[in-house]
Amino acid sequence: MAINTTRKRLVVSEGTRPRLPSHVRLHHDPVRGAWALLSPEKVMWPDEISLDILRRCDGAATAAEIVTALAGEYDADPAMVRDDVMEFLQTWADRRLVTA
Amino acid sequence: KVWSKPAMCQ
Repeated sequence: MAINTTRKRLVVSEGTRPRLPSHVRLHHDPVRGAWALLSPEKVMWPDEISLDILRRCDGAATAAEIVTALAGEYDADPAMVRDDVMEFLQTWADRRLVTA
Repeated sequence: KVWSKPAMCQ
């Protein structure tokens, strides 16, 4: 019997409410004084901007709201922030570190 | 804070 293990790919849009899956969490590493993103298979070191995005992935805020908040916080061009955030979320959704 | 492309390394 064939077992269907394919999962539908999450396509991130501005209306997506991204969150961290239950098996993934942010952890502050006191040894390095840095935040790590922990999952059972891998450990990632996000930079400050990635961390600002991930902290807002609470399942409540939409991607568009995250972009607006970050563009304001960084006083940056919203179009540039949007492109970078959407690409970031899609990349990590494809690697199962972000879901919705 | 200055915006730049977010990066995350394994």
